[in-house]
Amino acid sequence: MQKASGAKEGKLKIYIGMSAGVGKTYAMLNDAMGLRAKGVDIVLGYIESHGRVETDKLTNDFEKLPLKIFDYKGVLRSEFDLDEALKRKPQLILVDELAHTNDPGSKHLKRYQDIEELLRHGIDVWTTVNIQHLESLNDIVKQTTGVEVKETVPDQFMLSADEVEIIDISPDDLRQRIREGKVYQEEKITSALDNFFKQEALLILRELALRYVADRVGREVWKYRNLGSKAEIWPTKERILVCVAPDALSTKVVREARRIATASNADLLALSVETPKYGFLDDEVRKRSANALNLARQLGAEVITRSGSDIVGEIIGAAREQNVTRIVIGKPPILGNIIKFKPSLIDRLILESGEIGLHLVSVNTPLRQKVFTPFWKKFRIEISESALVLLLISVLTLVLMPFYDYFRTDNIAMFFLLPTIICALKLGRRAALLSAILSVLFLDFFFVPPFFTFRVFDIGHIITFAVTLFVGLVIANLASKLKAFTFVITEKERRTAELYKISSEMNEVLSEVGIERVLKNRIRSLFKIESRLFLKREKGFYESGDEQLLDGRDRACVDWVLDNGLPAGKGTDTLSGNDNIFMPVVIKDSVVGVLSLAVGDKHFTLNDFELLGSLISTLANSLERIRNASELNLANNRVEEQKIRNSFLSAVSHDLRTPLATIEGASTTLLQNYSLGTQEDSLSLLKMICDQSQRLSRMISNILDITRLESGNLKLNCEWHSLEELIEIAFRNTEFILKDREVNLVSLEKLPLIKVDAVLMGQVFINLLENFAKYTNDSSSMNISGRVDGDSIEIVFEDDGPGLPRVGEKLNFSDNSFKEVLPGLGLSICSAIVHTHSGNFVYSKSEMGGAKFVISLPTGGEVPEVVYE
Amino acid sequence: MSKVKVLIIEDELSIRKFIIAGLDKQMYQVLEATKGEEGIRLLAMHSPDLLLLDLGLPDIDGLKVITEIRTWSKIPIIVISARGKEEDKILALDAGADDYLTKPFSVSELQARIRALLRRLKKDEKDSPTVFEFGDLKIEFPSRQVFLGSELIHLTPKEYNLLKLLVDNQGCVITHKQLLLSVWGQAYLAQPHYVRVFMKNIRHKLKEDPTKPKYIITEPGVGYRFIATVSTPSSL
Repeated sequence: MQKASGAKEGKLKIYIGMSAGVGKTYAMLNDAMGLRAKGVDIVLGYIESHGRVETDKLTNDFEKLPLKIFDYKGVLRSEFDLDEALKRKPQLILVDELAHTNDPGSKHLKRYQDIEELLRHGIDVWTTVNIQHLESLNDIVKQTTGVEVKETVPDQFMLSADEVEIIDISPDDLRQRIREGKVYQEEKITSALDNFFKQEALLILRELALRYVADRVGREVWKYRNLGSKAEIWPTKERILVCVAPDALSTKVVREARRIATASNADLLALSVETPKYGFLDDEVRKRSANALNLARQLGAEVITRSGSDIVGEIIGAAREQNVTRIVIGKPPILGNIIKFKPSLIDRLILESGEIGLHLVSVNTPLRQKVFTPFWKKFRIEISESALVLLLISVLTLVLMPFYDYFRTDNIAMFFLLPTIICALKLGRRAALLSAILSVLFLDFFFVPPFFTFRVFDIGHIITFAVTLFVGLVIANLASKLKAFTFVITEKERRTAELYKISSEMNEVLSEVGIERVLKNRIRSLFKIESRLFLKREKGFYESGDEQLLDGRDRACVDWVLDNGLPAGKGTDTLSGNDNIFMPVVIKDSVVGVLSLAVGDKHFTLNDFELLGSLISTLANSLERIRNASELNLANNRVEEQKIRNSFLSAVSHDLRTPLATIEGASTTLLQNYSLGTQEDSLSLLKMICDQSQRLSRMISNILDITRLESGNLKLNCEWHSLEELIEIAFRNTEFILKDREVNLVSLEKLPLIKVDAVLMGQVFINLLENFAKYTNDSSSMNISGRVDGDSIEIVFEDDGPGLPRVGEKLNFSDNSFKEVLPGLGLSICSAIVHTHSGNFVYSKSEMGGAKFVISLPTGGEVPEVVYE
Repeated sequence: MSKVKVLIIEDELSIRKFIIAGLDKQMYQVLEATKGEEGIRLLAMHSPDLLLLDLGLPDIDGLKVITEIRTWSKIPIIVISARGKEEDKILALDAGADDYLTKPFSVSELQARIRALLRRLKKDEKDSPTVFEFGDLKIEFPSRQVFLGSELIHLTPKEYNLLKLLVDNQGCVITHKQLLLSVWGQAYLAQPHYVRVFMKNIRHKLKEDPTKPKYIITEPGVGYRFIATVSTPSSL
């Protein structure tokens, strides 16, 4: 079982009994009294006393957790309150009735899941269960006592218990207690004694319970001994592989296999082989197979799926790869045909399994349900398909008619194989079969004397027909098998290719935002559904581009998945009322995020889930890579930081000192010569002070910007803006230094709104205009143009100035190396701002002769609509 | 004409001095406060005509000062704030401030803001004029017609309302929120792109050049402002 975090888990103790009324709850409470005397903090989470007086008396001494009362379709119900228990967080909590199914609307489907969550949070739990509720004993109980138990507990959960205590009394005593009214109220006594509590049933249940606990104790002894020796703990551990066929009885086979595995302390694996036929099976049948695999997973088995046409080959292959010691398979029904043309599946398994043991399990039913669809369904042909076949053969007949005199009948028969081949390849087996039959009929009718009748005189012709039909049927079969197989193969190939594409795409992305985008696109193209990714952030919360869309119900799911590392939502056991599936994204045992999928009505197949699983692990790998890279960068940066800070400080202090010196000099001159200097002199000095202080102010705001950007604390305030507005802001801030330089705006008015942070993007434009003003002469000109390129917008600033010094033809501002060639802060700020907008910032030589800066920004999605009036 | 009484609440002595030096002594009488509490007391005692308020005060948050004052006074307030804190400006404007200045600012900017606010105040007292003229732009309010030179410009009703709101407050900033509220209504508050799309259209119809806007300028992150009437040349 996957653990959400490294926190210490609580201990689980289970009181087990053969049936209700043996005194489990009483014993549990009694034990708890003893512990409480030692000062342990104990709370009663949920106790079912069935109105038994002795038990009730015991509970009075404990702190009771209030039950959660809620209204379900007008009826008031009460349930164990998990959230309250987690909040109260006692050392030990007592929760009765382990197998209970929670009311719809509760957090979890089953009580044992509530308990799992308590344990994960480090709370010790004591609980009670009756033996008939064990998943793997479910069938036996039904067969032996005739009672069908619906509420079951997975064996895996039972195995995870730290301690199991059996509460045992003899069936006679139990029946006596019932008769005395200690278990049930008066009116129920007779019916209870006549039904479930029959002497015989109780004996069987008692045996089951005792055997279960004895097995467990036996294993513990073995484990203890093995732990003591220095040898490997499980030197010759058995591995059992159960074959899951898509029929109704496979769940029984799986349960049986679980019992065998538990008894021999073996690992359990479940295998499903998808043959080419799988593609043609009913949804019903496929669902059955998925159910059986799900059950296997719940029972703690590792599930493997393989595809191939040779079932036996795949079973043996999987068994060898997984070092399986024993194969468990359901015993096939005796079909009565003694003479067999080919060896049965079991025969072949016996022949080919070699050293691997084979365990046939009887499923106790005379006839297995037929798996495949009845033949009339198999041969049902679409009307349009038949018409097509008919047309094809008619055309062929018409074409061949004129040549009748030149060919012999058997030559023409060869031609009549053509439509069958075409149908087999293009339309499938049914059409090919139809075509084979029709071909022979047409051949007979039109080309064999007497013409235009189905009568035949020549015995040779009958042979021709028979051979044509036979060859046609064989072709139809082979071709359709080939087709089905190619379908399976191409499907697999497509998925592999998709996965490869995703991982290579993700590897190219350098930011988490980029990864999210790749993931969303891929999920959309693969499953045709929308998805959202929520990543945990340092400050204890997660965020995503559209966090505001997260409503309370979704938030509960996301929180739960983050806490527990297990899937939640639709189709899972937790919070299944939600329409979305929430999958944890796990890096190194810690949940870093949640992927939410809006599945809607879409049915997810096992294959889909597998693909999704690989997708999520690819995602986790990429996230880890990015995080490692940024951590590595951080470490490298720290070494560099000191160096950079020193040079930065000296550069900045030099830059700051120049205007300060001018201001100081000019103002002191003014003060000293206040009455002496001419008005003209004073004016020029004042102008100097004014200019230099403005320069100083710009410089300081640049320094502030870069520190803000580089600290990473900047939060973008993105809204839809018109580019012209941003350009206007930039111009107003730079007009006093641009002076008479010519700036042309080219086709900016045609651009759509763009989603950016106006203040920051405005700063980019300001810096570019400032650079233009700083490094070109008064007669220079600049063009600013923009265009839409797919889902990004490109804004180009180019001029006829000298271009960037010491930089070649092109410079991509995607890493920090540009800082070595460019001393100024202006372009660093531009680059940082553009990159925080997930855009690109590239310099190249302009055709106008000077510098050309290209800013490409994602449009930010569809521009929201505007109603004009 | 009586002098205009201006109250400055600002803790930095140098800024106070420079503001006082920039205001004509013939026209303005200046009151000074260094703290919020003191400022509010002076405001209550002397009821000045205009308030210059620094948002970063040592005792109370400038925003609180505004909300406090707005409970009992309609005095025009100009907020002075540091650069790069657009949210603060918007909060202040939404709390009831009338305009803002970003540090560092020049005296001419300060004078223009004060004049614009006082003019708006006076206009409220008088009957509003029927025609507005500014550069080539002419608006006839009764017929809701807009001319550029002699050419009639066709504005949709919403565009006209937007333009009129800006013109009515000539020289003063109008926030996105105020525009959305008065032109589209409460339901559109979460859709600021409406303002941007409509402003873009108005500007095209008025043949505005983004490099040299003649009528409307953008206040980044805050809103829009109709350019004030030509101000007197600055003292520099």
